[in-house]
Amino acid sequence: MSKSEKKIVLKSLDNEAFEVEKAVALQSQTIWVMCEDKCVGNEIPLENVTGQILAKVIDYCKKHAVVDGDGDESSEELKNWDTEFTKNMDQSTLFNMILAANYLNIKSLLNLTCQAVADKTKTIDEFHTFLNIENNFTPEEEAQICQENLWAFDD
Amino acid sequence: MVRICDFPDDLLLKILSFLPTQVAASTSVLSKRWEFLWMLLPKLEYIDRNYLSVSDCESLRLCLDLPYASPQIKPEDIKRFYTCKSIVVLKLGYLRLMDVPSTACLPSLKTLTLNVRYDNEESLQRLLSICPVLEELNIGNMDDLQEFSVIVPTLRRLSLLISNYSLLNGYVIDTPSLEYFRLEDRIDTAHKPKIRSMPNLKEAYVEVVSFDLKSLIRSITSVKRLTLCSE
Repeated sequence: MSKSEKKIVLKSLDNEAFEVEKAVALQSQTIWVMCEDKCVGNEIPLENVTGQILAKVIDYCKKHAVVDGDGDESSEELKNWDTEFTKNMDQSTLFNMILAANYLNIKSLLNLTCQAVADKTKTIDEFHTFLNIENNFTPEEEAQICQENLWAFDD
Repeated sequence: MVRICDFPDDLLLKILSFLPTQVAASTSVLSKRWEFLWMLLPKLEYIDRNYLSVSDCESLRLCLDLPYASPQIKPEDIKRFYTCKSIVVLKLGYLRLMDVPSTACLPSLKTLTLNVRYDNEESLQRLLSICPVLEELNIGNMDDLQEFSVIVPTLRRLSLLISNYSLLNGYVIDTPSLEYFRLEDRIDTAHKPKIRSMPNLKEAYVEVVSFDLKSLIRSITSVKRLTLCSE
């Protein structure tokens, strides 16, 4: 395999191009299928992901490709890296990362980002504020649901 | 600007799957879209907090005797479990299992773990009868039953723990597809277990105190690995 065949170019929604090792990119099942289909050349357009988010996704894939590749790093270190990776992401970035991981079909990244959202939402108030969910129940309806699911609201 | 309401249900469920069941269920109050969403979760686990610290049979039995300590969980509170069509794994701990509603059905349930109290002799059998594809059943407390039956044609794995505080006079196990069987029967008085043939059984662990072993051995002749402890 020549050097150029080992590399692949990922192009974001806003036309930012990223040249990455194929082994890094192929952690995405979506990209893997596109490559298998041979209907794309060395440049893969990703119409649902912005450059800013794609850069983060690639960081994640690079880290995980290294670890899977030579096994130098302990799973403990990788876990810490994952925690740091999502720790300071704001709500908007996390949402975009979830959608990107889903679209690119990178299971471990999807789990990581969904877990990060779950970690930030342990109470109903946190759900309302962090996820920005508008309550469209009437107070009577809300009381009825609480009553029907008493066990879920019992502290 | 991405908003959570633009997410498809499967992504919202993915997020909920990382939360304890109780928290996930409390999201029913967030908004109309979320009201029934948690019920699609494949795995639900619920332990009554009042009994979280109760782990041994003696203190559990003590709790049973104290009226103020009896869990206030009523069938209305868990009735939503009975309508969760997608539940695959269900663990119920330290609550009172009352009459199962007539409309209940758990069509996807494969694994059921029970550490509950039973309101009457029928409530266990009634619960099992609404699980048409049940494959694994673990029961950890039978103290307040005098008799029980486990009649589940689809069952492959069964674990039963019967403490020496149990009031059981007898029980029936009729599980013809069983492959793994674990029975710890610590009752030290005469009682009448009826264990029907298990022609596919591969592995069994049997720990009994006062028990007619002959009645068991006849039913498990196909077993390949057997561990037997008896006093």
